Amino acid sequence: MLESHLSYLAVAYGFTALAIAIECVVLLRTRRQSIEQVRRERDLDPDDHEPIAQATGEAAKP
Amino acid sequence: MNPFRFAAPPVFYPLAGRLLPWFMAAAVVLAVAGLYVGFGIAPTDFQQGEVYRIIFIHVPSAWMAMFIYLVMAGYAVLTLVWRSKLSAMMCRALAPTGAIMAVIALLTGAIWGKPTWGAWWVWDARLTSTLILLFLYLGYMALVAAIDDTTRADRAGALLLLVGVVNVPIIYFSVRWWNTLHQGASVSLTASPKMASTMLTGMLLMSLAAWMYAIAAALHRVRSIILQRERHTRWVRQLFA
Repeated sequence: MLESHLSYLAVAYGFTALAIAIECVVLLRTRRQSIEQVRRERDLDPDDHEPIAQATGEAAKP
Repeated sequence: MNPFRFAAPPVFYPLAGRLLPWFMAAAVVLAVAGLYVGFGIAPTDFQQGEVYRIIFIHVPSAWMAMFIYLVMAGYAVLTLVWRSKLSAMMCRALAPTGAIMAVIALLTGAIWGKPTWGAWWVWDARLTSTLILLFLYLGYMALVAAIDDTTRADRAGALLLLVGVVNVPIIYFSVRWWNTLHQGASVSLTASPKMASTMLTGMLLMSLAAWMYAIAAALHRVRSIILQRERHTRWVRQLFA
């Protein structure tokens, strides 16, 4: 009885740990890919950008 | 100070980066404390034995799956009414974590159900409505991924979120409205808890840990989404100069 209960517990907690680990790995990979994409496109086309003032919604300073 | 200033991606991106490690650290500390209370201090249940300790992941993940959907619905309103770019990005950032929480809740529930009910799955109102919640998460992610135009994808996704939000009260009240195999609420704001205080403490600590983790994961994901969407802007290019 106790052993079978412990195996249910192990499967439940093991699955949860695995799910969170997979999500963390995917998060880190996505971030690395996003950074690589920014660098690649900046190197290909360094002048294609909008002004900072437009992005932030602030008035352009002289 | 204008609070809407933080809705601008160039302002929110560094703020999220500064907050993220604190939320992740809080999640780890609270999870360690919750597991210590749950396994080291909380007594064995006189009816279910040791297997009841699945409660320390099942209930927090089920709560988070519902709560994340409500938060996404709130962001969906902001997306549709104010056309806030960051709100739509937050919806996309929260969806995978909400889906994972729903999967954890369903699978740990099935693992708990086998030794206590004698079945992995029953078409009970609580279980079925939680499965529908998972499908809503998956449907939202598929919908926004299928539409190339980002603005249209965000608006279509927001509409789906608002239509699906009706499922959340159905999940919550299902154990009251229908005669279900799933037990009723053990914790309520209006009644005293139906469990030992150490069990409740462990469950609440694990719930806080799940909450902190979900915030950290969403902040991490939204930073990647901001980079992808704003990659042509000067402020993003200067980040990695």
